[in-house]
Amino acid sequence: MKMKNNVKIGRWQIHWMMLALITLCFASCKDDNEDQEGSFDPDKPVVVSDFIPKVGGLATRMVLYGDNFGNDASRVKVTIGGQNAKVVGVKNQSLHCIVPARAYDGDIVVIIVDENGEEIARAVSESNFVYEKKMLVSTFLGDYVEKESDRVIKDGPFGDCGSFRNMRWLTFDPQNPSHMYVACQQGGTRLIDFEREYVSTMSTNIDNVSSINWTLNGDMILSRDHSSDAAIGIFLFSRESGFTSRTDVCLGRGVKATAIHPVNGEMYFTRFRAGDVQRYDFGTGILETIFQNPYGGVHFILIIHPTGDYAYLVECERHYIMRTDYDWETERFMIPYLVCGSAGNAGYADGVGSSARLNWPMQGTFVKNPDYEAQGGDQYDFYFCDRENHAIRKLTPMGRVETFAGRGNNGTWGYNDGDLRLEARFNWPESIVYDELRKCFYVGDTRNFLIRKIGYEE
Amino acid sequence: MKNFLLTCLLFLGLAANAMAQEEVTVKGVVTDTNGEPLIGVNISVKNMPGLGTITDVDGKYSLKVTTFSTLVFSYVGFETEEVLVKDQRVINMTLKESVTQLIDELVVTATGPQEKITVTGAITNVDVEELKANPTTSVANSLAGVVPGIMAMQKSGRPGSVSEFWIRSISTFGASNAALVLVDGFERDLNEINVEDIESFSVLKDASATAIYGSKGANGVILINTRRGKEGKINISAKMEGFYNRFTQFPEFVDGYTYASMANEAKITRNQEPLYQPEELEIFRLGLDPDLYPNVDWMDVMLRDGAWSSRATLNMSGGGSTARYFISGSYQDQQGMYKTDKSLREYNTNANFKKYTYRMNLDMDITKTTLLKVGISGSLRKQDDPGVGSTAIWTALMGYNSIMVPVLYSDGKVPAYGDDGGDRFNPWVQATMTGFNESWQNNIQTNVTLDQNLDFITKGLRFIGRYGYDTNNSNWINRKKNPELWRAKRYRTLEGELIFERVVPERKMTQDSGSEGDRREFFEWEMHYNRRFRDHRIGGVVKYNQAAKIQTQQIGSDLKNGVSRRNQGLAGRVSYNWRLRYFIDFNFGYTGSENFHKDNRFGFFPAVSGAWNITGEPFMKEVKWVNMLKLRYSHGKTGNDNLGGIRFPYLYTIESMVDSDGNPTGGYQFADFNFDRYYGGMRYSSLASPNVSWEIATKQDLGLDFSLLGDKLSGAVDYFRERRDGIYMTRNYLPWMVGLESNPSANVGIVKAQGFDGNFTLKQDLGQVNLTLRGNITYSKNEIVERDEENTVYWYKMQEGHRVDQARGLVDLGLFKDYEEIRNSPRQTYGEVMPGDIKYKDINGDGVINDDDRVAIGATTRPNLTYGFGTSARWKGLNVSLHFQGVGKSTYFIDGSTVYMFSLGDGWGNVLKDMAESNRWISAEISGDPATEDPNADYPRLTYGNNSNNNRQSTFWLRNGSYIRLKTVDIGYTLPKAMVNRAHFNEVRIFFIGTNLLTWSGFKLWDPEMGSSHGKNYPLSKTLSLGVAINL
Repeated sequence: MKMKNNVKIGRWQIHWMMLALITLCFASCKDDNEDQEGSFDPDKPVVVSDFIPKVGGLATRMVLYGDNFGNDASRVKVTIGGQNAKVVGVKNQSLHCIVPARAYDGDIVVIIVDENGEEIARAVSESNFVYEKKMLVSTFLGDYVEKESDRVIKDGPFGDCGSFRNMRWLTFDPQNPSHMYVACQQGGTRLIDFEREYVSTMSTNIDNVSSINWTLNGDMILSRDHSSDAAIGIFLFSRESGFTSRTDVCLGRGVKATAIHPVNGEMYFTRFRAGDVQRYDFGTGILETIFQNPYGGVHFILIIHPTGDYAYLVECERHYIMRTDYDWETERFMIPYLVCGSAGNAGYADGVGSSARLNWPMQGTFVKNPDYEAQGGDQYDFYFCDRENHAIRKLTPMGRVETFAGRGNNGTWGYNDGDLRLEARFNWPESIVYDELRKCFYVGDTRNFLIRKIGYEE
Repeated sequence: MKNFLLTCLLFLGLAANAMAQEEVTVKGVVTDTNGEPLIGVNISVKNMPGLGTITDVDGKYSLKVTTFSTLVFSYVGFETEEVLVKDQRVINMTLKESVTQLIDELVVTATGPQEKITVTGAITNVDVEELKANPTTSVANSLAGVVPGIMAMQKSGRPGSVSEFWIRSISTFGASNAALVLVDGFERDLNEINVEDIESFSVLKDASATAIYGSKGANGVILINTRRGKEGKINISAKMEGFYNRFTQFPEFVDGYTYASMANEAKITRNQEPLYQPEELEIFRLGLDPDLYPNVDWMDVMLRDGAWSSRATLNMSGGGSTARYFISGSYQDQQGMYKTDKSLREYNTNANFKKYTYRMNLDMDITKTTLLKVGISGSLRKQDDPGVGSTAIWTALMGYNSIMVPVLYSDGKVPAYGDDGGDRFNPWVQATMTGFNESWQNNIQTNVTLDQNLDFITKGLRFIGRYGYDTNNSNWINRKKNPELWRAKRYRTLEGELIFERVVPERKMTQDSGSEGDRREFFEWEMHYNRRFRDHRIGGVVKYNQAAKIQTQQIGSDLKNGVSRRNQGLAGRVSYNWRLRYFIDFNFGYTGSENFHKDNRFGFFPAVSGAWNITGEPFMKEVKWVNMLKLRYSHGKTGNDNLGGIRFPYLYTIESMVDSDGNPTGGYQFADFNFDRYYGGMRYSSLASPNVSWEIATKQDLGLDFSLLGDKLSGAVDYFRERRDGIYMTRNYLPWMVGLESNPSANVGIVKAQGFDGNFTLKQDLGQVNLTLRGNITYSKNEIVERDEENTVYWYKMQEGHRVDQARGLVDLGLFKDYEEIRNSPRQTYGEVMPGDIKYKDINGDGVINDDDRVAIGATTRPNLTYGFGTSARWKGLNVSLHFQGVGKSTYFIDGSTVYMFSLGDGWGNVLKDMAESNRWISAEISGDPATEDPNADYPRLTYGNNSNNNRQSTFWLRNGSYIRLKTVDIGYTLPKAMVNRAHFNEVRIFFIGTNLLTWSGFKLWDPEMGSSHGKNYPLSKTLSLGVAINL
């Protein structure tokens, strides 16, 4: 009898074991949830004990240390120098915010607010942040789009003027500092009106505009980059017509850039296929070749020094820059010689003369450097776009090449505003102009489809 | 899962099995020779399948039968007895324990089962129970360390993946070193067989055992016979197992703060600006900006702690004296380790693997001398994978460091590091949002065997004819999609907002599918003759075989693909022994493959072997402790016709010459000016190699089989040598002046190999405990004797004289101490060198370190030594066994973005925790401690970007792949008979099996068995399984 009982249990045991096995197959594991960081405790004081960095400027990433900040970024307000700082993250004992503009006083206040935005606690840092006004790269015009398909080219007021394409040349109207022109290879020639704060498209009926320059009496010279020996390459738009009346200047195939001598007024331009520099005299109408470029069939441009003493011949496609001195007697530029870079060797290196490396240098601009005043001689630095290095480089009169802006954080291309070398990034900067009035640079950042600005924060 | 449940229910239902009732009731008690009642003895009625019973706890039984039927009493470990029921109503039976000796063991050879004592070749009979102990999806995974003479490595742990294995030694650098696997006599896939279906598993290693297979036997042969029905009451066994899998080793990576700090160190130590400012490091450390300064443990995000798997098998066998059957089915479900998105109810993107198999073997006695065997089997293997596939996921898992991108941006955008169609998507996206792939293989095999005893012609003559027909299909459907993927720019805007860039546009789901398939037909006949004339025993076999394999899908436009691959052969064997003492065997294969030119189509592969059974000698009669001692030697040839898919190498191909636009070129303009009569040229695009044929292996084997101390200690030791001639390879180094347009191929390589393998088993009873200790070892070393390679002034650069796939690289001398040492050392030509970089040895003494200083270092990735040992103990119903497995003589380089820290220089790649925590060279300026400038540090000075001096194959990065692991632990308990019999079960066993539980290895970064250089593979699993086996 006893035995029988046992056996029954045995049978059930087996069935239970099977059941257990089956259940095993269904089991699954659960993930643990992370513990929530401590939230704000109204009974405790809010404390700001320390912060880093101690010195910085607009958009510096600041970390605050302390206690009882809570864990909800929307309930924490930080002001630095009386300005609201964006709070990125908060973890009760630490907080990350972005230093706002004009935080000159540097006093740091942390305010905890309730759900209605009413202040319930505050803490002030003992020491103050040292706010330095510094030079920054910022976005001047154009919409940054996250997707290619959202990009539009359109006229409109600043803030709603679409994008810019293939900005090959930037220039200011020498007689109207509130008009900047952008030669866009596609999308027409754009006029940026600082007064009306409006971007419009200038109707020139010319495609592939490669450069815009100005005669000494203020007429506009447009070059058209085409591949015909028998077509007009350079046009003139007279100022008195409001740049509406167009005159043919001369033939020109593959004109990559024009330049007007700032003293004598004659025009020079570079030709792609022929690989030479042409001189055109507006008075006589004589067109002549003054020298041959070392390479034909390459992109190169000529930019004349404001004194007219020399010009830089930027060998875009061969990654180096030459200098050609002006012979004031013959009123002609002479055979050029190397200033920086190495012919045919693309690369990225700061240095003097041929030890520097460039990668597709493009438009450049001369800017007076007050530091040179004491020593006399050439007073101008040459800032140019180093397109495929995604940087703005600076060439000093002594032939030293430095990186002025871009490639932030050891990077290459990208889109970031901020500190010139630590943060800022460009993507194919092609054109640059210096605004004497506002003391800043504008950069045609082609592959970000934007016009960027380099200058001191306002 | 559903199926598993159904299967379970199925045999729960079967518990109440049928009992028949007929005219008379017979009762009785079954006892053993000591008079103890036997519980659970099977009593069946001959030729009445299904009719029978088992004895109860008191050994009693009662059965209703018709008179004049025969009762069969059978019990495991006892001799079977038969009794004719006439007018007895009580039949008490005493069963004798059966005595089997090792000598009686049967070994399955190429020509059928043979007594072990008569075997002259090197054949290992594998104990199928040992294979069952390893509960993996494939039989191949359980071979390593279990079967002497087989080396194996599992390169990936993905569900459904199988081990690579080879017999004895890799003896060729040609296309294939894979063994020939024959299931029920025909070439079939080892991995689809359910291990429970295997009756016998034997490994044929030397020439005498494999010569019969001629041009297919050179890499060794595995013979598997599946189970067949036995006469008697229906026998139902079922087995269910549930597994819990975990990775044996989980690659652990550093956290965001450590990674960023090390990246800064890599920059600063090479005089570059740091990547992160101090406040940025603080943001990492405190986790204050998860969008731009994330800290993601991708392994944790992606992978589960463990995965569940299950397996169930059911088989039934039985039958009468005229027909017997064996039917089995199995189901296996192995889940992947990926975490899946729970919101995706429609499909599962995990890397799951399911396998279903079935088999039916039917034996019918058509006449008294004619036996017809029919076998049908099939399998379905289904594999799921996320849309981008597992390789991409592991590449990303190892490439995505913790600070690259968050799992999701705070505004819900899905991040990606880059767009290359998969690899650089973030792992979470890859695993859950890229669609899913299904692939499945379904194979069906059919064989029919006719076994005719021809004793009526002459005694000992037998005819066997065999026909087989297999279809194999594999199909896949890939469904791919991806969401819109974004990446935030490095910094915020001046106002503190994120800037995004869309990296990848959204892709709606697309699908494509494909298939592969082949059909195979086999036909064989054999004539056997075995006869004993007093002291002389003669045996002979003549065997004709033919096989054809045709690609059935995606054959394309190339007519060659539509031609089936055919083989034909005649083989034979003559054996003779005198008084089971002296044995001599001659085997041959005359086989042909139509892949070769007709002059080279057939080859003759002879082998001769002999054995001396020393125990058979009169003088050994006195030596009681030696039960069996046999010396074997064989010498012979076999071939390998696998050239790696190349079809008809003896045919040339002539093509019209066309230029890059597709217009004819290389011809002549026959027309006058202004007219067009241009005829393009023709050229040999591939040259005929008419003399190409198979590889020839000449093998020798000297072996000793022994069984000592009353079969307590038994085993075998074999020494083998092999020379492989005529290894097929492309002749890349013919002089240009020969003027060939393409490189022809020829049988030019030679490799020799030698080694030994052996095994032993020691059995000892300690009271009621039966102890078994067993071990096996395989060691081999190969050497390239000849190979078509470029000549060089430095002999050590040649592959000749080295192992196949020998690792090569520079020899490191530690790290440079200072600039002084750099100046005074031979010039290293792999880029600028700083202190803390790797210093190399100038092998040729020319003062320059370059590729001429690369030498053979270490061994090969694939191990050259494999061993296994284990012990098992049995006490009453409880059994415990442990099995250890290890390999040696395996070395490999480690490289890639996981090992060469920061080598890609674009933020891709991760740093293993183990490497970060170990001792690396750090300049004193950074660490503030001159002791960290250690020339003997484990890792060199960091570099951000590739350091071509440090990051190259050298002894510095060579790792020893040897390991030893606790491969299996098997603990089982058989429930007492008394208990289970009342529940109508015959036997119930509950078992626990653990695999890969412990591993000891000098290599710590990832599982050493994978032999992976970069660790970017699905890691191997350790498995804990619990199961129950039931026999009705």
